[in-house]
Amino acid sequence: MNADFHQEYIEEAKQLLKDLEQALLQLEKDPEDADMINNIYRYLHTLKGSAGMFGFKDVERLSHELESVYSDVRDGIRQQDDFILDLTLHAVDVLADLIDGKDSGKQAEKIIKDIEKLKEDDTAASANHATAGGAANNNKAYAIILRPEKNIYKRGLNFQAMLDELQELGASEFMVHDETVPFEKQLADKEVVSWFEILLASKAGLEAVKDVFLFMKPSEYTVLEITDAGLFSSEPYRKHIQLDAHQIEDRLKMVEALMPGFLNAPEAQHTEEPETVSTAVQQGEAAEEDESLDKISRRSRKGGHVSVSTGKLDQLINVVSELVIFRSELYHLMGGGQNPEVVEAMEKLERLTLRLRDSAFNIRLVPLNILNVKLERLIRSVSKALGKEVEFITEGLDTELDRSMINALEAPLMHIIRNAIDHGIENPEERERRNKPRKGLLKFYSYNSGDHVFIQLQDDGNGIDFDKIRAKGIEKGLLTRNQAYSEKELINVMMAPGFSTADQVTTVSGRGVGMDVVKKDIAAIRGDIEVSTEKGLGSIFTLRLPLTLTILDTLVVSVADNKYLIPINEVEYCYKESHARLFNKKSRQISYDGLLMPFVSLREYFAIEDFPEQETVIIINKNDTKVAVVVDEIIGKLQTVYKPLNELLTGVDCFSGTSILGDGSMALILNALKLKDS
Amino acid sequence: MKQIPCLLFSLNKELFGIDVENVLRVINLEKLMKVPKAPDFIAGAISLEGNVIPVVDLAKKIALGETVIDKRTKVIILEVHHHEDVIDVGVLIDEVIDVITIQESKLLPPVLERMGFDTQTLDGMYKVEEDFYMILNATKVFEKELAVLI
Amino acid sequence: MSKNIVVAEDFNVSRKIIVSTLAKEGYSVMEAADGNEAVQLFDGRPIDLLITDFNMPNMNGAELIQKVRAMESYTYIPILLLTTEVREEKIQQAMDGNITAFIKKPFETQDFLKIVKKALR
Repeated sequence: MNADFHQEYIEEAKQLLKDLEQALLQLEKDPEDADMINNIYRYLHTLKGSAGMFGFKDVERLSHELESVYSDVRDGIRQQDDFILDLTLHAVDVLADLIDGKDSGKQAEKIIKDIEKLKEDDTAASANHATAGGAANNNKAYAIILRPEKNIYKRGLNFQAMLDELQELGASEFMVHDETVPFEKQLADKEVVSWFEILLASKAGLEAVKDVFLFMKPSEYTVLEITDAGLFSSEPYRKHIQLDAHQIEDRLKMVEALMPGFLNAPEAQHTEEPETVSTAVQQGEAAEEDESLDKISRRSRKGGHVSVSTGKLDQLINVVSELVIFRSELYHLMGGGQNPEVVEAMEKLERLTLRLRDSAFNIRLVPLNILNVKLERLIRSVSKALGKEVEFITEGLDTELDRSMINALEAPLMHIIRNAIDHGIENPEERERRNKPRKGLLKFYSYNSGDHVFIQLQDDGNGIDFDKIRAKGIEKGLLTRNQAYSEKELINVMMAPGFSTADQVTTVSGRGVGMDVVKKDIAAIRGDIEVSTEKGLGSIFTLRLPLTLTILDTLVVSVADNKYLIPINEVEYCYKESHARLFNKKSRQISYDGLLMPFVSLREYFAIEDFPEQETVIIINKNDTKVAVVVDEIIGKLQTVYKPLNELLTGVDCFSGTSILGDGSMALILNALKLKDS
Repeated sequence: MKQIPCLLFSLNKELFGIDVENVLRVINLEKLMKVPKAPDFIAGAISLEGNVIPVVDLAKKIALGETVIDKRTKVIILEVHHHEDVIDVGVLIDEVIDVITIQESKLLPPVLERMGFDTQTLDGMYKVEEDFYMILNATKVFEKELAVLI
Repeated sequence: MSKNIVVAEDFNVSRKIIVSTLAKEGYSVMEAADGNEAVQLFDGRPIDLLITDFNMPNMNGAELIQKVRAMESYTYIPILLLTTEVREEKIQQAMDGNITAFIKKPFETQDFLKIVKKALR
């Protein structure tokens, strides 16, 4: 094997171990994170594959064992726990030593033993239990006994809804005991006198099943997991119901009907397990022997990148988005679905489509550092041209953003940086006079927060000169003389159209582009820009951007026959108010949070003539600008795929985009701030 | 001699043609969403394969009157070229008549007198048997709207 | 059709938090600063859930709940009672058979929403 490749493998493996460690720590924070589990599995798998090829036998064996553990975790056969996590983290260290050529074979051996023991414990445990386990899709069987108090409805509990919820969990058998009054009549009268026994087969865990009865008192319900026939003669069950042998057989048959394979499952699991392991090993060996296969697989793994045109990506995203919509449409057509098997299949489809969607969106994400070179070159040339010295520090360049967004960000970022060097950072002599280091500091940092990415550009220059802005604003007719303006207002003016600072056109900031264009560019990708500044100390420009351009959480509201969407993060408050009370006041204002504010009625704004008796007021808060919008009513919440407005509609600025709803109908996304301007 | 395949259709009792190059497809009008505050000639928007496409009342756009929407109303989905971009727009029509190939050389210059609509949007007129078809130019129809886009 | 929720709580900050949490989920919220204000809201309009504090001026939570339950349209609506840890046991005894569930203050948003969602089923 070529020595270069050998070195390359070592580097690649080290990177993999770093990623693996990161993922493990992430998993520690959120043990349910399916993506992380999958990543861990993938890292181990890759590690194993390449280790075999480069003769790292111990690495191969150890990662193989770990991989099999995480394959079980991923498939829900094994629960991730601290023991496994500690073991794996320890293994990461040992693997790193092995790759570095240290003699850690013994330690590797010990971990492998631990894993083997773990597996033995498992098989022993499952043999004891004789459960259905793997044979029946990881379903679990439960016996549930409900003894609701007679007045349960008076407590505001809806017994029927609870039973419905239980049915959604899986297949069930429902038995009514002491039915002195017909059950339907009990429900109609809202007086429950019977008590109930339910057999349930479900993937849900014990806690999830108990959760259905969250509002019931502990004395009112009992949930028992059925691991074997013994349950029906065990004390917890017998406390409620005493069955004879014949009745127990009946119960078992019911469980078998709900969960085929329950009665004779345990053997199936044993035969399967070793088989999968041996095939995996064989594949590994085959790869090692076959020289040509080796080369191909190594090459594809080496870079780990395939270039795909953005057009193709967009196409993929479109199809995936459509699939997501189509799934909800299908669900809609089924009317919620009664057949538990169909419901289960739908749920699986949902999980798969959402996963597909997430991975498709992930493909579009690229790290910000692809901009780094451009920014550095810009800073060099600008500072040289202006005779300034600048130190550029970056942090968080590995933050990922939608590819199209990074393209759109390039121009505004360059502009802000040009401005910072041109107007912010003083020349070296000036800086020395002010007791600052000769070199100006320009800091670029980026981070994720929720579903947003923040980018900050900070300089330690002179800060924004508000006197200059005031003077210029007056000169341009954007501000009135003799009026006091807050710094925030002045910053707004600085970013308003028509405020191009003439003296910068001649120098580097150039091309006559003003901050208004920056603001517009950022707004076009649904982002915001904020400026904070301190005289003599510098400025910070903060850009807040959505992670992707396409997914949006919205509130669906109705106005006349149409539905409209409002981004959830802009919603502050909603309440209902009678039309008369809203409109009869001459002032046409509502009072909110101790302040009077005008409202915009969408019916009125869209020139619809009649109004509903009850209106709904929504207080929208975007960047601390509040708008009260009056709609008919709120229909619900929806995560939706954002589509920009078609070019012919871009002039309609009270909408920022469109979206397709679950039932295939369309809705426009409100741009509430534009309502205020009108 | 240049040959142009053309889709012939009727609108408000008048006969029109448009270069097939611009036609993505013809569909029946279903589920038209109103777009408040949109320009007068926008009848609404429809969803097509996951995209939301504006639907233009073509009659209104070329000052030929107004389209009365009924069950038979059809929409031609046009691809309008603008610089590098392609913009999808739906236009309301009454009926598709035929697809024929016309000889560019046989295009008659549009009559510039009062035809009862905006003849600036035409490439020319074409005679098929006894009927005159007015051959629309998609880019010219949306000239004003395209001009304001960067 | 969004669900209508009445929130009765005299402490402004915590009421605002509850109200905005619910608004973000798409619920229509009506708020009241005491029991008296709250009971006025039960004027026959559809209300799907009452979330109320126990200790309030003018009319306390217990009285409010009794008044609401006595009205025919609202006899069976779910009611969530906000309590603090210390007093829970006492209140629980007093309110038995009248309320759907307790919500301990302070609460985690996710837990709170889970309970609300469940109560609205």
